[in-house]
Formats: sequence, structure tokens, C-alpha cells
Amino acid sequence: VPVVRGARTGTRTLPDEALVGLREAFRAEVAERLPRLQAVHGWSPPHVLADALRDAHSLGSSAVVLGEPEASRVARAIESALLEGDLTGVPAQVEVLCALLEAWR
Amino acid sequence: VSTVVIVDDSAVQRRFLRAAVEADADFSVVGEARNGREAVALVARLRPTAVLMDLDLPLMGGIEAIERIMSASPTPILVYSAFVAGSHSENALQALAAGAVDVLAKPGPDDAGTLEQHAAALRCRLRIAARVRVITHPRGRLRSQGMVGSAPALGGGSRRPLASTHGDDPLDAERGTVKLVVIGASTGGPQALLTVLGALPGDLTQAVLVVQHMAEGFIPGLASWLDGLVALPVVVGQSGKRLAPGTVTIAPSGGNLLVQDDRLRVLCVPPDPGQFHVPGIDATFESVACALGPDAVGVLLTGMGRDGAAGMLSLRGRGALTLGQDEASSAVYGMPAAAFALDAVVQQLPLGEIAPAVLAALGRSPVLGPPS
Repeated sequence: VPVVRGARTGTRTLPDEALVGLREAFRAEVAERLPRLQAVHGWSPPHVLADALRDAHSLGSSAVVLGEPEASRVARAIESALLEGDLTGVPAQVEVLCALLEAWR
Repeated sequence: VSTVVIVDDSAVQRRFLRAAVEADADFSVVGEARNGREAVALVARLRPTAVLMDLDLPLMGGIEAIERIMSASPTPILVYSAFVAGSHSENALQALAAGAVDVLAKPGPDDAGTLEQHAAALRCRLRIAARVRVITHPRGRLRSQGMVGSAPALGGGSRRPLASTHGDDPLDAERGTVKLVVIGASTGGPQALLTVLGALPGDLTQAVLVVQHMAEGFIPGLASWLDGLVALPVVVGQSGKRLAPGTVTIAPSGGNLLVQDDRLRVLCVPPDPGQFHVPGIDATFESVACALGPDAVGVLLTGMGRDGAAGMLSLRGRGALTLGQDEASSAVYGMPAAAFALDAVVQQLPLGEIAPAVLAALGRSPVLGPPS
């Protein structure tokens, strides 16, 4: 089970039930959002890209909370690429993100 | 106990925020919304003490949701979003203009500090936000009347002169030729600045200098945002340059901006050891008092703490006109109260009367925007 590293550091820790809830919620978010990111390709319609942008953004923010900074960096890079409309590197970046979040899938 | 509504489309963020907020027994999370529409309805129904809101929301975005909440059921809103830091700082200003009380960036992967430290900071900011008295926000009110409150509606529109000031008004006192209007602001400042600067005409011949407490990186966004909304050009100050007449200069973050002489050359210096607020208002005001004396007008707007109070006293002691925002119109009546207590304020005024008072001191007729 992945450890919520960020939440366990510092002078106080979040309550255990909150940590369990966070892990469950992140697992669900990964399950929901990663497949949509995997479906992005160069000729994806605008609504698919809009959803993907929100997915990358949410995973980037949530990964920080769950102590996954590298996954957060990659998600933010995907978000930037989607914002700039440069999709050429996105599938490869999504594969990296999948690997980084494998423990949560 | 302060009741809180959390607005975020991510279940992870909602859970984290609930845990972080409820770690303080003084807070109770009474509702969660996943999009802007839910937020507007939930706040109207639950009437919480404060709202913690993301900006990037489905169905209805955060900015529109803030406007609607502040129009229908005014509530202190602390924006908590990844879209307010760095290159997104203009979003923070838009949120503040829409009526949010404060803005806090979500932690990024490279941010220093632990998650618990961030949660503690979040609780601290929420505690402050929850104490702010809010009123129906004008932009929301204009929107509800079908008059979308954009820049021209706030700062321009049909202008007509006000009646001239009374002869026995303290603002009519004999003063030198004013060269500079210097303004200090903190919590609630961006909105207050918009009101004051938006009421100044584009052909003003005096320089305007603004010191707004703001975290590193947000000042360029504030300048850019104000520049798009007010008649005067708005720029960020640079060390070694002169303040330009007819231009609003915002003190940059990271240090104190000092006015060196009556030619309005400025110097940026590092903050004093232990200085809490950067850029510091006291440092700038005191430099203006030395450089210009009666040829300056000092204005201290809403904000927590007492920065600016001593500087106002220096300004007044050197013969400058000093104006303080009154309690009723202040988001946080801290700094103006401290200045008032020191007898550093020549006149304490509601926010809407400050620009007319400044213009009267400059020998100009005040102007009015459209009715709100």
C-alpha cells in the first residue's frame, strides 16, 4: 500500500481515517482519470481534450497530497502540453505517468 | 464554531481539505460541492461562515461562482487553487475582484514544506477569512441587473462632476503642490485599490505609488490586472527609475521601495531583518515623508496589522494630507485603525469617498462612474 508520505511528515499528522480516505479517493481518481488521458491522441475532439486537461490538472494536484511529487510533475507537464495544443509527446508522458502511479491502479 | 463549505471537483482535494480544516475544532465542514453550480446553491442553503473554493471547476467556473455567491448570499471566500500561482497570478486577481477575500495556492511538487505545514497555513488563512465582514459585491449586483461589471463599467462610463468640496473641509487646508499620491493596502486591498484607482482620471498629472502586501510573484499580475481596468497606466516599480507622472507604480515584491528625492527617483532595498510584511508600507511612507513632505498625499486602505500607521504619522508630521479608510468599508480594519489611533489620519473616509478626497487635494473635480 503506498504511503502518504507528505501527510505523515511535519509536527502533526492527519487522522488515520483521513489518510485511509485519501488513499481510497486517489485510487478512485487514478482509475477514473488515467484511462481518459490514455485515450488522448493527435486528432482527439475538443471535449476529449478539455476533459483530459482537467484530468491532468486534478492528478497533478492530488499526487502532491499523496506524496507522489514525480507523478505530479509529469501530470503538470501533460497539462502544459494540452494547454499549448502540442499533443505529440502526450502519449509517451501518459505512459510515464501510468508507470509512476502503477501502485495505485 | 465556524462552518465551512468546500468546493472542489476532486474527491482527493475535498477529503484533504476536510481533514485539514477539521483538525481545528473551531471549524466544522458542513457541505461539499463539486462544481460552481452546486457551490452557489449550497452556500445559499447552508449560509456557512466561510467558503473554501477551487477555481478550475466544471459546469460553472470558480470566478462566476464567486460572483454569484457574493451577489446572492455574500460569504467570505478563500480561493484555494493551483491556478493562482506563477503565470496564473492574474486568476488570483480576478478572483479577488469578483469578491473573494483571499487566495492561497495549492502546493506543487517542488514546494518546500510538509503537507501538515501547508494544512496549518490553510487553517490560519481560513481563520482570518472567516472573520472578514463581506457585503454584496458590486460586480455580482451589476451582473444580476444585466449590466456585466467589466472594467469600463467600474472605472469609466458617463462621468459627471460632483459638487465641489466645502470651504471648511479639512481637505481644503493650504498645502504645497502635490507631486505624489502614495497608497498602502493589505488584506482586501486589490478590490479597494480598484475602487480608488478606478475613480482617478486618465489625465492625472501626479504620480501614484501603491504598496500592496502580496506574496512573491503576484505583483506583476496585480499590475497587469489593474492596468486593464483603470484609466491610468499601471506598472511595477524598478530601482533607480523615477515615478512617472500620470502613472500608477506598484512597489515590487521582495523588498521595500523608497522614494529618494523630490524628483521621485526610487530605490528598492532588502526588507529589514524580521520585517513581517514585504513590501513594507511604513518604509515607503517614511521615505515619501522625508522626500516630499507636504507635496504628498498618503492613503492607508484596508488591511490586517499595523504596517503603514507609523509611516502615516511621519507623513502627517511633515505636513502631508493623510486619508484612512473607515471601519465600515474595510475588509479588515487593522492598519487604518492603527493609524487612526496614532492620530496619523487627517480624515477617515468610506472607500468610495477616498478618490474624490484625493482629487480635491490635487485641485481636481472628482468624477463619478455609473451608479451601482
